[in-house]
Amino acid sequence: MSQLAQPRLNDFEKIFKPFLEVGRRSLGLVNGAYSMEFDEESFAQNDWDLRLIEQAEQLDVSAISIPLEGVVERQVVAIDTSSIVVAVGRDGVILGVRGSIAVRNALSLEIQRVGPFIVYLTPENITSVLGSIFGGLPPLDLSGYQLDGSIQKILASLLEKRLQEHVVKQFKDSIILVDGSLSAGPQDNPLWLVSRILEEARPRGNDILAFSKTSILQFWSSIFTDDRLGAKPPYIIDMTWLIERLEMRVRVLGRTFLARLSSGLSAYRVDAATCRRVEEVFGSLLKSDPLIYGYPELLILAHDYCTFTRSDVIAIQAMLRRLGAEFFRGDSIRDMLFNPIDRR
Amino acid sequence: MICEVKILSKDGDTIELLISPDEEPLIRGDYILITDGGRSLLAQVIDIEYADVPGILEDVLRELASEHLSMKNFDPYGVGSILLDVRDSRRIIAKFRGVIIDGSLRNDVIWLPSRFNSRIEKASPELISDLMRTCGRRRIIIGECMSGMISIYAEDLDGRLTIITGKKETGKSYLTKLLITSLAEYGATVVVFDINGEYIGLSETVNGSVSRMAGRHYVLTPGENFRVSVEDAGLKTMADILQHILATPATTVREFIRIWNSVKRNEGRVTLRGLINAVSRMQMHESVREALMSRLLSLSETGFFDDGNPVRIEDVLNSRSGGIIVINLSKSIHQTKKIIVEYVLSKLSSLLREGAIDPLFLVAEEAHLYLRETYWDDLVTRMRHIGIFPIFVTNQPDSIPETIYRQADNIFLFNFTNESDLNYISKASRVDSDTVKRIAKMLPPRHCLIIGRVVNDLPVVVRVREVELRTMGETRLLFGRRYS
Repeated sequence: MSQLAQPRLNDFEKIFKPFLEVGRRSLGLVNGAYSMEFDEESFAQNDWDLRLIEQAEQLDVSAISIPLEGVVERQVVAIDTSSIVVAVGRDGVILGVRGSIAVRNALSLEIQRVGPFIVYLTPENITSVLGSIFGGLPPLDLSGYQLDGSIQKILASLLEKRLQEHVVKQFKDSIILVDGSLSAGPQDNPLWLVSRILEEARPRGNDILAFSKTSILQFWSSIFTDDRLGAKPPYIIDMTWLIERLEMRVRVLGRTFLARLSSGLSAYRVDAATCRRVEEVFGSLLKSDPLIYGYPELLILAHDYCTFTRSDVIAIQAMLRRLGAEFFRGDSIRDMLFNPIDRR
Repeated sequence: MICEVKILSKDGDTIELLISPDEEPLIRGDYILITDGGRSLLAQVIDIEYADVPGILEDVLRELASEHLSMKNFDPYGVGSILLDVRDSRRIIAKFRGVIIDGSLRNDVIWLPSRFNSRIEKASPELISDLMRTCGRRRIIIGECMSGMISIYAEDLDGRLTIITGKKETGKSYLTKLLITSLAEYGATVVVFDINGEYIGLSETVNGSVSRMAGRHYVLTPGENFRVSVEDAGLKTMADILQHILATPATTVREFIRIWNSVKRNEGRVTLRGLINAVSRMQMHESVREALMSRLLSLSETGFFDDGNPVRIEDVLNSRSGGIIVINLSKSIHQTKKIIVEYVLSKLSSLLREGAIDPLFLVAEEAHLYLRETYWDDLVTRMRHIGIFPIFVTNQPDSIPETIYRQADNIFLFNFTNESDLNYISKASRVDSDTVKRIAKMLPPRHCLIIGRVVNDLPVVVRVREVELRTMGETRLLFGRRYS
């Protein structure tokens, strides 16, 4: 396979030098912070528009079968990022963010973890910190960013875009799997940045598939059954025209599918930006990477290795203490009001 | 000082501390001092476990799953190395032993040191020696403890019930020899029931030369240099031997008493030959005659009774000021062992009651093999009061009745791995069961946990020191040196 001769992932120190410098400077501002209770629920990202359900019900769809014969096995690269609130200070919030890149080919399976990066975001430094992720690239327009609940997601998303940009430049003829969608428009997915990633991927023969676990489209798998479609998995349903019609605030780059890649009810929204026929790309994916409930294993691995655990948070807090930060245990309002009776 | 350690919790007398994996390893039995202000809490380490770190299951699963992967990390803040420390942090389980105020250890003070501002350090062996010091003058250096030497006082064994226990080949006999030779050197008399011939070589050193015990060590081998007269044994002892050891029916024993009195009256002294003759000629039921005759002939065949040239045990005991009297039972058959022990215990009791001999220590190794059941309580109550101070040595803890453990003043506990053995020993009243179970299970050979009065109720783990005497406790091997 020609892809095996491709350059290895490295140079992260150089790529993220500005981000690290700005991040380290920001940590010098911490002088007392409340440590955060780890609560996985706080990281759930659900923002479905329920109007979709009503409108999509009237649509006529057909399935595109995925060929399993005659497709080639290819190198698959998956990227994911995760962020966490480590502590809340007087002026801002300490965030940790980490990415992971999983690479599978005929010879090996490799995981590269990038981070954690730790930053103290305040209203004053938010623009410079977020901008530093992209280093010497043209400055982003970050004037609209605010220190609110969405900042954690934005930080993870910007790091993910930076890693995607790095990966599409480093690899050739690979299937690049990313978590989420190729929607551009919201603050964490600037249109020009997503466009540039897709543009850089195409000439190098890379095909990008974005798997979304939380899209409203996947609920349609119970309506678009195998019997109704007259098809057996694996197949995909083109939903691009529907998404373009309904997603007013954002622009979807590439095409959008509902993908049922294995039998059962599991189906996912997949945005595809490919330089080959999309069914051929899906076929190669099925030949190159195992599926778990119809979802690529490599993306699960990438997710697993970037996700923060409780001990990660303890270690980050310990590291910050070594840098002179002081932590206080923040009492949750819920605990103060309801414990010990409340058991959720 | 232990740098990276914090108090985690205290529940009852159990204190848990969180410690970094990089800290110098602690050993079970080590004492730690937690100082806050002018007071110090003394706790003893009994175990160490992994700390219950939040999310550890997820971490371990992730590590497990990544073993076949090629993993690379770009970790600019070095969080990974801290994470390793966090995930590998240890939980030390320690037992509260008291609070030190103005140099004295007190158990009645309700006080806890600060979790975050306390100074935590390993207690020095000198401090532990000071705290466990009793008011004796006769020092016995037992061995090494916490990088220092630990000694006890002979006075704390005097008048006490002592148990030495542990599984085979852990060093019980070794310690026993160390204790009894030290006691003998201080002038105490020690009588040893030696069932394996382990104590007969104490007059020699390991290289075969004469040891310092040579003048204080005397071996009595029944049937050879230790034969006694039935009259010296007395009617009660002989009746007990018949009833309890030779399983003679009560009616037959009554007949024996009648015969004994008749022989004494007619011949002026009682001999085994005289008793046999009397049984053969006196009028009695034939079945009784047969029963008595067979038993008296059995006694004669033991070779232990010699009415012509008997040894008087009081002469042996009084001929020297202290020493080790080894009664070598290794050549005697099972029943004869019991007869000899019955005689010796009965004789010692009467001699002590009469004031004919000084109080003495009695070492009974694997006593269940030769001591009749009714003697156990007798030894720890009545006999102890008249001056027999038992030292029981066993590798089968359940062979000693539970009540004996409860009354034990001192326990020298070697390794046991079997749970039921540990459960049995943990009933000893002078220490909590957690300490016994957690420490004894992991003791290396020649290390023992000392509990009781000799250590002022501060349990210590000691590596028993070398003795230069010929100990003879080693197992004889068929193939010579095991690994040659």
